[in-house]
Amino acid sequence: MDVQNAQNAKNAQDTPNGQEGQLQPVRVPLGQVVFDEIFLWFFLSLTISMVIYNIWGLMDLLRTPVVAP
Amino acid sequence: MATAVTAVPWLRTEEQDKTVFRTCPATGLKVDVAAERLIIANAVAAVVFLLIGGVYALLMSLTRWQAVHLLPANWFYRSLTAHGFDMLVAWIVFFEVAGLYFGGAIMLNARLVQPRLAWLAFALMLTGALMVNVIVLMGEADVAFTAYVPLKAHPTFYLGYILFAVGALLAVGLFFATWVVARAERRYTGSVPLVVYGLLTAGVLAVYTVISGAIAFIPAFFWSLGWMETYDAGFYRNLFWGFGHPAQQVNLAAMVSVWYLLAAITTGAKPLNEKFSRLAFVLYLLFINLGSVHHLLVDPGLSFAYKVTNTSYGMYLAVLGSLIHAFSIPAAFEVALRRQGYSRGLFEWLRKAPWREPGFAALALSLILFGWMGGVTGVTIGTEQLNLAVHNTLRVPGHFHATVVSGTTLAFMGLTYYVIPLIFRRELKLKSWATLQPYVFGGGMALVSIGMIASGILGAPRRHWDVTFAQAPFQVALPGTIHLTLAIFGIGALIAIVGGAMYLTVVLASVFLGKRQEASQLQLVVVPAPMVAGNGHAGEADAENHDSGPYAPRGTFIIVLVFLAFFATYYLANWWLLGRLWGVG
Ligand code: HEM
Ligand SMILES: [Cu+2]
Repeated sequence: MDVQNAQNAKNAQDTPNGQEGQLQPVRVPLGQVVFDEIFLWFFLSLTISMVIYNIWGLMDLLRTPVVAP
Repeated sequence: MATAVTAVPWLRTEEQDKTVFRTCPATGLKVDVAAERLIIANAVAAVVFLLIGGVYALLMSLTRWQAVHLLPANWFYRSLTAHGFDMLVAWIVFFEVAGLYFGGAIMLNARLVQPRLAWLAFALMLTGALMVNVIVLMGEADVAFTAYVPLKAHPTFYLGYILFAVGALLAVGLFFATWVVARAERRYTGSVPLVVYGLLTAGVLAVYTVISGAIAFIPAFFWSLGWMETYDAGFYRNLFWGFGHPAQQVNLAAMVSVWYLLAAITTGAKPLNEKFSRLAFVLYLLFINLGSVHHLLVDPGLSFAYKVTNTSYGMYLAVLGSLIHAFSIPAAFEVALRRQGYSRGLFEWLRKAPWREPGFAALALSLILFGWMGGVTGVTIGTEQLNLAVHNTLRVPGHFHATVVSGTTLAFMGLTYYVIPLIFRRELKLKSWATLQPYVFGGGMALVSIGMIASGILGAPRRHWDVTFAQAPFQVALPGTIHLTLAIFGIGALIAIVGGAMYLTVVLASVFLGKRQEASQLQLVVVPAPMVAGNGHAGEADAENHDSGPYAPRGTFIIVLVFLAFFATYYLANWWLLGRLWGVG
């Protein structure tokens, strides 16, 4: 656990000078790979917001009975 | 890998790359000069709108402070509209665009893709913001920045908003493109640093925000032109708050990123646990937009299930994210300060912290005011039942002047002091002013928030020109103490405006009169002591176990317990107040 943790921190913090060294392949922990998938989170974020906030809300409004003028 | 790079047309090898870079002597980062110019342009625009918004803040505050009551009604509402837009939209978003270019290009040693499009984005945003300001000043759009339908403004107002949104969307798109290209061109390896991760989160939230804004405002534009007969008020409110609330979450994610950055700059702090901090950002992404419904809690037509699911069950997961950051940031600088030798007792690190360093003062005050005042009041008033007693009272602006002003604005102000030597490459002038400024601004804003919240509890409405209801056809009796709480707010506003003016003076003096020079170090006033334990070398992995030992963040733990007790007390006190509102029997 702790070693992974250190690896995490190392990868994240070494980036500015990343071009040197780091030639040997490092095994990136699964958790880190998942966190790095920003576009996955992008998709989930958009979907959750659209469905639970927008679509549900607009459906509620559409169900509101209209008063005859 | 290099061959794969050349095969894709939009990627460049090092030989093909014509981007002009300079190397920053203080950080060692490669700085894309085109990105740097764009950062400067966006930051300057941000500061100019802060200045304009600040003038309106002064006029409005002197009106709501009933003893002064400066403006006539129409100019009060005009100022309200312009202040809301210039501050919440223009100042914040221009600054965030500058931040995104900084995070996407400079922090990753990468080039900004398509600087020309970035200038187009800037032009669109600037044009849009100016259109809104002019039409409001002409008196054709006294509708507040929310522009709730059926209030109707001149079409220019909506068009300005739309142009601004399109420009912002383009800027966010370029930020993502810059990051994707940087990764593909192997400008960095491994994961992005936590600060950039936070900015990516802000970028994701920004896309939803801006698209929602466009969906809300485009029909409003048509309706204002007369092309559309009606525009349903309920629909508009749902769509608008898909923009207005997530915009605050973009601010939140950006502010938290700036907190991590300021902690690193001013104390050498490193994130204690990358996994947890990243998880907290992911929680924002997944759940925080649901909080939008707290603006709609008194709306008819929306079901109780919808309101409660969004503002409670969904929201609390995002609040969990904030609690993680609220612990991990102070804990990170506590550990860093303890490692510099301030490890006696529970709080030596706190006494010996670099309180004279503007970035640290801004960080600390921003954290405290945002968390203790903004966060606590926000979770409370976002609760369905409690909201009934709070909605549309001054407690609401009291809450968000603690979040987006004492929190985000103060953090951004603190960061500016470092941007001046690093990006503008000017000497920071008036350093002693910079040291004082966060305290003046933060102290003033704390009074503003407390005064507004107390007035709101006593019944003062928000967005209201005259709490005495002098010409109203009916009598409304607010308790006399309201004049005291409004005076606290008014005096706080004057202090905060002095703090804002100090910020503008330092920035303008440095930009125009500061010596042109390369930065040689990150800190401005207080240089942190070298780490005593381990090797404090930046970038070194910190495998130290912080659960025990002299460097464990025990002080922060105690502070967090006190915070939770305060939170619970305030929350429960509000239920008690609610219970006393309407007597039964
Ligand atoms: C010296 C600093 C500031 C002072 C004294 C101040 C004061 C005020 C006052 C008196 C109001 C009107 C409240 C009402 O009548 O309902 C207001 C509204 C508002 N302020 Fe500020 N403000 C300051 C800075 C800011 C900043 C930096 C932001 C955003 C980043 C901001 C965002 C807003 C928003 C969104 C509103 C609501 C407008 C509306 O209801 O349409 N303010 N402020
Ligand atoms: Cu909100």
